[in-house]
Parts: sequence; C-alpha cells; structure tokens
Amino acid sequence: MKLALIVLASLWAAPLAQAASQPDPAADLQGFQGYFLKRFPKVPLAAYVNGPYNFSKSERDQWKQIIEFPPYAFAVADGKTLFDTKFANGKTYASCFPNGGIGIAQTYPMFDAKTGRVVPLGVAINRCRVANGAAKLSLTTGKLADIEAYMTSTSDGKPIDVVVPHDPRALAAYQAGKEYFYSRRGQLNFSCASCHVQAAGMHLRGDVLAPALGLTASFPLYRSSWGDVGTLVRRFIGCNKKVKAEPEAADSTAYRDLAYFMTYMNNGLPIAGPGARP
Amino acid sequence: MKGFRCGLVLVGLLVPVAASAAVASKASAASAIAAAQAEMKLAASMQDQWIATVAAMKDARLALKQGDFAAAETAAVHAKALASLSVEQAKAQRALWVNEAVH
Repeated sequence: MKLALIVLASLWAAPLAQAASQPDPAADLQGFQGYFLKRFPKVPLAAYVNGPYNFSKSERDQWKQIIEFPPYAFAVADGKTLFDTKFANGKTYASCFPNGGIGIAQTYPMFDAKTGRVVPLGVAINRCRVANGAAKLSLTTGKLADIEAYMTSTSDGKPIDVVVPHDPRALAAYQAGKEYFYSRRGQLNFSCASCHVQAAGMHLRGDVLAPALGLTASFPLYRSSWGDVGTLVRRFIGCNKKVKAEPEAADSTAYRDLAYFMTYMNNGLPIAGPGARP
Repeated sequence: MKGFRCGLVLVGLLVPVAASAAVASKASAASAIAAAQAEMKLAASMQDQWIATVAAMKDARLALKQGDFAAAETAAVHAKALASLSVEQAKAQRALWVNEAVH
C-alpha cells in the first residue's frame, strides 16, 4: 500500500516538476489551445481573437455597432502619419524594420539574440527612434500606441508567428513569462491565469473575462474605459493594479517576457488589431 | 494558504499593539522605516510589491517629515508586515504556480 502511494505520488509530481524545469513551448502551445477548445467547444479557434464577445450576446451586439465606426480609426490614421514622418536625419520608421514595417506585427515580440532580451513591437519602435536620434515614447499610450496600431493594422488577418529559438536565453525568457502568468501576486492573491484561464468567459461584475487564448491578438486596442487606444503593456499595468500589486516598469523584463509567453500561446490565430473592448 | 490567512489576521491584530507598546522617537521611526525599506526591496525583487505596502511607506515618510514619530513608526511597521506577507506569497508561488499551469 505504502509503495503504491509512493509510486502514485511520483507519477503525479513528475509532470509538475517537468513543467517547472524544462521549457517546451511547442507542447505548452498545444496544451494551452487544447484546453480552451475542449472547455468551450462551440468557439472556433480563430474566434478567440474576439475575446469576451464570444461569451455575451449583448456585448457582441454592442461591439458590432461600435466597429461600424471603429473608435480606433483615428489612432490608425495618426499612426500612419507618424510612421511616414521623417526623423531629423531624413529616415523613417520603415528603415528600421523588415519589409518596411508593413505586415510584420504578427512576428512580435521577438527574441533579440544580440541583447539576449525579448523585444515587443513597442520597444522596437522606440529602438528605431533612438537609432534615428529621437527620444523614446511612452510604451503605454499616445503616439507609440498609434504607430503600433497602424503597424498592427497592416498585419490584420495574418497568423501570429512568434518564435522561441533554441537559445537558452530565449527559453529562459519564455519560461519566466510563463511563471509570471501563472503566479499569484498582489494583496488579492490573483494570477493572470486566475481571470484569463480559470475564470475565462465568466463575469467579473458587469464585464466578461476574456480568455488568455486570443487575448494579445487585438492589441493595441481601444477600451471604452480608457477612452483611447492603449498597448498590451498598459493592460498589464492595469491588471496588476486591479489585484493590488504594484505594476512593473513598462519596459521591464517581466512584462517583455510575459508578452512573449502570452503571444506565443496565440500562435496561429489571426491578428485582429487594433481591437475595441468595453 | 490557511496559514497565510491566519498570519494576515494575526499581523493585523498585533501591529497596532506592538507599535503603541513603545514610545517612538525620531531614531526609532527612522529605524522602522529602514527595516521596512529593506523588506520592500526584497518584495520588489520578487516582482510582488503590494500597493498597500507602498502607501503605508508613504504615510510613514510623511509622518516622519511632519515630526509625528509615533505615526511614522506605526506606518513603517505596517509597511514591513505587508512587505513580509508579499515576500511569503512570492516564495510560495515559486513552487505553487505550476499547479495552475495548463498543459
């Protein structure tokens, strides 16, 4: 009996220990997407990019009306203007990105082997500015969010294609993001997964909690509660505050890694940004 | 988790008693603030600083500046207690997060 219990305990503990120690992004992706597809069999994979609107008819109806005149349209237009505006040295943002920055948003965040860090699109935009003698912009809202909105709009419908290369630093960053996502923090003792996995599709007061699957696909997005367009980092900061935790710096490694993990989990889903949310 | 909650209640009950037990001075308030700062630094390094901790520390610093050493010490002790709880939470999560992961 004792032996049987030990064997059972080791069988139970083995996958847990593996999950903590050996990053396997491809297996995680399969398990993560499979979890949601099994839990919500009526929601097709690609529809997850519409977040809460899969779970509330009234919110979906309102959203359909809202996007007849998309509230993010001004941000996209302003973003294009900014994107095409020359820096003091005569170059534009197009000079910093492959394919002139058009239709590439689905590949971000990407791992930069040179610095050994994850680079989300917003950070890449700021890098471009610094390389061309301009000051960094806020990573949460304003001009940078507008530029990101424009660049993302040029990737509309393209499948998310984030790569975690076989580089120990990239795997460590991925794993750190995964750990951050599942770790409870703040005075309310919530993790990202508490709301966006375990309680996905349920109500939090008047709002429907969006599943983590598909969540990053519509960023940057216009939130009615913000009254403007904001980036994924802005959402991270808001979520941390909601669970009574001090947010990390917008440019922190923690948020970069978190975006890396979350976006990788959405690989294969179509870009649907900018989006609109309540 | 039960121990964590019990600890929280216990700290909540003991903090005012402990703070009022001794007469506060500028030095004791400053010392309490320094101790809280050290614990907060640890919490921040573990990516788990609580908003309430920062608010308590802000209160402590303000009270010290205004010369209300007793209030400063009480708030600093409170900040340290909160920071300790968040450190405990972060340490526990290093092992527990795996239980929430979707495979």
